[in-house]
Amino acid sequence: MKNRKKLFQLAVAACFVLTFALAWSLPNVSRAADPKEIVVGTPVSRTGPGAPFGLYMEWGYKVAVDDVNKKGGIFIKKYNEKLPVKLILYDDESTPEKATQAVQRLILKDKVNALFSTGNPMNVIPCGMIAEKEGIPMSAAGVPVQAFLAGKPKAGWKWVYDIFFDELEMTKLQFLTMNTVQSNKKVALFTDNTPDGTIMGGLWKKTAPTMGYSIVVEGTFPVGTIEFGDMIRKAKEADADIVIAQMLPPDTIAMWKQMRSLGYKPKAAFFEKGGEPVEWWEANGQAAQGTMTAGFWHPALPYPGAKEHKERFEKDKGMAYSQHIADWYTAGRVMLDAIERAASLDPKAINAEMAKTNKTYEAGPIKYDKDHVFRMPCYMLQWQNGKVEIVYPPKLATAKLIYPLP
Amino acid sequence: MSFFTFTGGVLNGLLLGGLYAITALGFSMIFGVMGLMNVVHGELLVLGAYLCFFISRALGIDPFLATLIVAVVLFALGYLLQRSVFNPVMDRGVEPALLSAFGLSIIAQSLFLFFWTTNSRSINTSYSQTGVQLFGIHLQVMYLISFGLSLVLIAAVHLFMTRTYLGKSIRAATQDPDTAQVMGINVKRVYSFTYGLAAATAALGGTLIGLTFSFVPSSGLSWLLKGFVIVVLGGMGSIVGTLVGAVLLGVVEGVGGAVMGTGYRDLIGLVIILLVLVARPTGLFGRAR
Repeated sequence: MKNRKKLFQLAVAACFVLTFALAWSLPNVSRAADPKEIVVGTPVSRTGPGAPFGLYMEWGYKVAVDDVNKKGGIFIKKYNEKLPVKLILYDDESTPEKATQAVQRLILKDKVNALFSTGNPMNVIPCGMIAEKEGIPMSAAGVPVQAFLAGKPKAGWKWVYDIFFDELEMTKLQFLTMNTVQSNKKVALFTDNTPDGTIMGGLWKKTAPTMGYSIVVEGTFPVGTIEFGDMIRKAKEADADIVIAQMLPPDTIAMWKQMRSLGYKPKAAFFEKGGEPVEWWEANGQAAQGTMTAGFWHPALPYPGAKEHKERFEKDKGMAYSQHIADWYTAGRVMLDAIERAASLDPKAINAEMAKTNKTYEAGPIKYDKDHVFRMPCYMLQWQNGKVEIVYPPKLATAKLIYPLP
Repeated sequence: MSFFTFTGGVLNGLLLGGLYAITALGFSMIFGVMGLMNVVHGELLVLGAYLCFFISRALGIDPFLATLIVAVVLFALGYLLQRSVFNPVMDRGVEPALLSAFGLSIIAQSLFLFFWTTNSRSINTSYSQTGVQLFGIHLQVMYLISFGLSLVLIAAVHLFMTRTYLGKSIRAATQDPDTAQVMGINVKRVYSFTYGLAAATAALGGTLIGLTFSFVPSSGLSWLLKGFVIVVLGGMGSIVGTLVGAVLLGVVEGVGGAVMGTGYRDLIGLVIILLVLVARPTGLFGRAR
């Protein structure tokens, strides 16, 4: 009994001492340290089917941040000093699961002040939902506008912004280009079952008849398909002069090889996504001559710094540029400029400045509309001797259209 | 759909089965002899493709000639892998070897990424993108080559297994490793040789993948899954069964694709395979263990 009483007294005394000690240290604990840097982050596709584009994502964001840090960082009013920007990148393995895990980690553990974005609607949309829920501004690029709007929350995007082309415009471009030449207006349409494949496939089917073209063969398939003989034979039998395809580079390379092997030679071939990166030419060589892909940027466009931006990439990386060096870089710059205008790390203040963006960058004159999108104008690009040339619209063309395919 | 389109689909599917057989052969051999599900086999195929790609370019030789060099390299690699990684754990049950294989698969993919990036590659020659016409049906030259090579390779492996001392040692080690050991056969060395041989066949499989399709560091998994289906269908451990299973899969996929569309090829193929396995669980040429 006596021992129990003593133990109780000891416990009470210990509580007092602990409480006192905590109270003593509280002024040091309760006041969080001033941030030493501005933290921005994003998942990027370093591996997986989206990896060919991940290279441009990563370069663009790093360069955007480096450019700001070279000037000493961004001035934040509250701390009365310039803070450097720290960029955190995680590999999303081109999957929405890893992308969303990365964004959650960036927000909850790394405490980012703002987010950039990965590419591909199936990854960006769920990441955007997290940004919306947590109230962190996110600057996205590489998500076709209709796919971005189709994935928006009920009340619309409040914290997430997108820079890319509009599929409504892009899916007319193939037919507009074909209107400048003679063909039988028969189209073989091949799309994978990703969200932009599905959306764009639907738009092509809708647009074609309104512009005097008919989809005579249609094929949809999962990503990673290796054998396309069935679709190709049907397209050949239907005598389609035009092939339009929306698929990833490895699948496109396999399909193009099989088209040639099976003796199917369309007069024009539009390979969206798959025919875009430089590896398309590297994998096919001269066999890719004359193939086309819709574009949204070219260094010959009249935007300040466009040509230099291309040269910078090629010098940094020792490889040919892709049009994607513009969109993700610009998405990064836009967000950093918004932070600079806000001169604050408060997400609401940054978000307000994002909405007010109105400046010409290397990717063009960026101004978001009420849906938080900026529509990059589209051009038709054609692979000619290892380079992409603008072939439509004629007033911006950097080379003559090669038609029919050699 | 015309008769020629349908028949073209079936015939090309049959020929594609030859390519499938070559890519699955190594997997079948290791599974049959050692009971090891060699999940790193897909990466061996991809490694074969990469090595052929770079060696043929560097030396300016035909990819099939380069394959001879790659086969020797992969044989040596496979022999070392079995000797140093798998042999020490073979006696401890299935799980350690399987886990080791998983680990190697992940390491291999990471190394491929590090050295060769994520860019899609493809091996191109004058004949890799051509076809021939047979009675109005267009056939891909690469599929014809693959089918021809599969017959030669399967026959060669079968003869090796049945007519040579080493082949008989392998079969003995497969049937009863303990008795084989007692009879003077160095079972672990036999296993190492088998793995090396399987890896060497992956060299040819990788070359055919590179010539016919394209590949990236992560391409191995889809080929491993295809190989697994073929081995189960053909009967685990049966070399001839691997060829028959592969051709059957190719034909079924060809019919499925021609009738229902490209998007359903794999689905139709797997459904038919499941039905076959329900009727014959050990596979077409497998024996109950």
